[in-house]
Amino acid sequence: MGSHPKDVEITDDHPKTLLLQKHAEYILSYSKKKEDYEYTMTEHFRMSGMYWGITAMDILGQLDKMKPTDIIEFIRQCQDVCSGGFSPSVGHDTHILYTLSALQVLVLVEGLGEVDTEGVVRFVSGLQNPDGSFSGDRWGEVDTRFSFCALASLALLNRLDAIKTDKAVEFVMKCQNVDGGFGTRPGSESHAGQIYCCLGVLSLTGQLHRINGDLLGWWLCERQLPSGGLNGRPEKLPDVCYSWWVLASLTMLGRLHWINEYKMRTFIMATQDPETGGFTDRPGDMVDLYHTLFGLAGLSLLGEGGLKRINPVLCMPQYVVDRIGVSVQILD
Amino acid sequence: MEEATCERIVKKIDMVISRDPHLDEFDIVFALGEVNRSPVITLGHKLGLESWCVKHVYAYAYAKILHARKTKRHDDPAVLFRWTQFCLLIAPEVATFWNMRKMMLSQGLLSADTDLLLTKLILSRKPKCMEVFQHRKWLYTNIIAKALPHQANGAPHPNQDNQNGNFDHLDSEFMKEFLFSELELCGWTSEKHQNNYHSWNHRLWVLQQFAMHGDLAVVYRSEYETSHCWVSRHVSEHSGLHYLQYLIDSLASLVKEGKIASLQEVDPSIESIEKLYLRELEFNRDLIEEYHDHEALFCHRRFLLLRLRDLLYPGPQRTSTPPPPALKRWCVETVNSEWSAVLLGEKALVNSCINTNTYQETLGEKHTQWLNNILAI
Amino acid sequence: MVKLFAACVLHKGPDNAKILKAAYDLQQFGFFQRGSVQEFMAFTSKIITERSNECSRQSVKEQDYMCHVYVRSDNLAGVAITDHEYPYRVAHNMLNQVLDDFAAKVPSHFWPVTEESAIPYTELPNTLAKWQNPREADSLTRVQEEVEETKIILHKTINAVLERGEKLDDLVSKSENLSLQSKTFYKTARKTNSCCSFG
Repeated sequence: MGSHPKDVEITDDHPKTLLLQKHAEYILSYSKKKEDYEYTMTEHFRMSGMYWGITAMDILGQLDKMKPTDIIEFIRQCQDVCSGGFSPSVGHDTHILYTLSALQVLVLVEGLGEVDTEGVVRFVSGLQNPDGSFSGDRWGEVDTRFSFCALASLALLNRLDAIKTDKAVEFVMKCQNVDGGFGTRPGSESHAGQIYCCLGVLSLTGQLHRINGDLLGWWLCERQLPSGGLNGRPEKLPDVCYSWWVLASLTMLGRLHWINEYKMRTFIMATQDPETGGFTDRPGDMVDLYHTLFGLAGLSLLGEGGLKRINPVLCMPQYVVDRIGVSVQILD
Repeated sequence: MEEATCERIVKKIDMVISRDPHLDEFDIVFALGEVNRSPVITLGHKLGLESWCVKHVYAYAYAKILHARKTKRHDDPAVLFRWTQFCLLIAPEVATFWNMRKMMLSQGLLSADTDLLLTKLILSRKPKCMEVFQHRKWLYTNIIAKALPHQANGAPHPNQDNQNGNFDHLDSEFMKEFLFSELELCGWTSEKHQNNYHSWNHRLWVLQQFAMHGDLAVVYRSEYETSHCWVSRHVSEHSGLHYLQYLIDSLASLVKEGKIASLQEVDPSIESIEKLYLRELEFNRDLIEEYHDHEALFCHRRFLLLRLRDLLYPGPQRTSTPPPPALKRWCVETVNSEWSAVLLGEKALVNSCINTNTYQETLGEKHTQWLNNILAI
Repeated sequence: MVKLFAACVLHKGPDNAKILKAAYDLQQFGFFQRGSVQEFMAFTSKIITERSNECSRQSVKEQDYMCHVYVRSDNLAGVAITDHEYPYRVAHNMLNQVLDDFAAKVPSHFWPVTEESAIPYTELPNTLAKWQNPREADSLTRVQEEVEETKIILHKTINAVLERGEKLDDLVSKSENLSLQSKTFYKTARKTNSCCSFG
């Protein structure tokens, strides 16, 4: 049988076990260097970077190495008094993407009381459009990712009542395609990242029964390539971040066992960099925080020992989600 | 590097861009630093910037912008234009800088043409940058469409359903021309980066904008032809195939709604909606046979099969009211036979994949499983 | 994309391979990158020919590209560089045709000793253009002898055809035929896949 034309090869040179301590060191060292060009080049998504790093540290069981006071102070400075939303970094504009990241971190370090949560509710609910969709900020771009950010943000504040959830669900359902997947807007191509977001909205609103789990589950499983890695669309290369978007989606649909978990684990392990620590998109590339969190989160969903359990909808440690009493819908 | 040198480079870039409206490419060119030489290169309508200066100048312009925002001193808008322009050429993902330009555009301090050129230059280097497509969409909706006289007088927003010809003829011609050039731009970016999600998403949005400017048959005819050409030259790209799916589906609904008089306006050889999908199934089979190992082609096929099942074999669970007995019998005899022919075709296709000893064989097996489990036959 | 980027005719000598004639279609690459891309394609054509045996046909995958190589028993060799969608059987049919045509027009005593610029052969650019559409070009040549698919050896990476202990990265950094600009281009092109948001 011929091999898949678009895949990568996993060899014996790649790591096979979890390099837990290496990853903690990588994240810690990343948060300490602040002067170089790379730091400037990533400032426009710093808040999300912070969320990726801190969540990863918590899953690794090393949250105690981070300083909550510094973190909370940074986030406080990023809240816009007027709109109530959060910016990715001081001096940048607010956006719903970074508003969710800020809330996720605050919940994790128990700092919600330090910011204006009513302002956040005002910001998020103000972004809902008459058709139920959400804009990302005042400039109006619409995307199902923003629907998820809105719902997840309000769920963390226990204020889903502040928006029209039925309209939000209605819009998300308009973005479903014949293949069962979802795209960014009505008519857009199915994409594993958008599918995660749309299922997240349905889970947070208890509407997952609207989904044909067999059809969508089938599409999601076919993202797995012979190397074990997952892609996000047909004939794309595997990328470790999809081990989160796809695995979390399958978990919500109650069909995680539809993929080959052994091969999946092998692929994720191979994306670790044994020298620097951290995870890459594919074996041999450069590591970053984004892939580090989603590599670890994927392993956590697969039940990897030594990692804390993660919530498949909010991508936060389950014990944190339990602490604030938020529940999500998961199909049997 | 000294601040004055950085500023000089930023100015030089600005000068080149403002002097040549036909610039069509920008790139960072690897080079080691040399004294007494400008890092800004122009060759024909191509603009290059030597790599050695990028870090320094970016850090300079970035700090300047953030300082200006902090102190809220925006004395000279020209300075902010060129700083944001420089930073966005290097890092177009920084939404805040686009927002600053949106603000200036809304205030009339910056012309739409300037940003149409800047975004095009950036796409030549980063053809899948989502923020750039967003900016062009915003430009169109909020500046270009609103600049038309009818729009300025409180006519409906172009995003609202508005098919009643509120645009007068000239405006509509102008908009159509703009939209056609936008389709061309999408063709260019899709070619530059394979499986370019944002480029195809943008194209889809452009197609939707035509709904307000009449003459749908013209754009659908051209898109129908272009898409078929495109997918037969990019057989592994599902994004192009997805666009074709959207095109066919919306073509079918436009005909049903009477917005396009008949399918024959788009292609004279298609006399019915069933034929539209059946023809596509044939076209797809030819590609599958010619180009082995492509999952994207099989995904497209599944879409067509699901649509055809609904059209040719609307089973009891899929129709809301049962058909009268006479019609029912007709359905069983004629409609089912057409559907059976389709299914026989699938069997033949799968058989042709077996023993190819390539990935095509796996794809054939997966297709069989899908037919059995999802199409439930 | 179904695309043919380069067609190259080479002579495989005892120690190294020499390009006799090459044609490129690099329109889709950025203007400032074309020079480096072309250098790389020439470099790859050479190293791959040097490591292929006489009378062998191979198709080697390297990232998004495919290199097809055919070395004849008279040491005339052809390399085609395509994207991964271009059917490899068709690429090999093209190489057959190109080498037959070249050998008919350029006598074999020219091969080991003549510089590329002095070779009197001008067909390659036309051939490259004609074979861009595999369907049409292939049907024109179907009447001739076809390459059997089973005779083509497939490799997943260039490293698979290199000799023991050799690595592409090392060959690149040691090469005297590649400019510093091209070497840097090679390094950055390999590492910049990271995303910070999906899409």
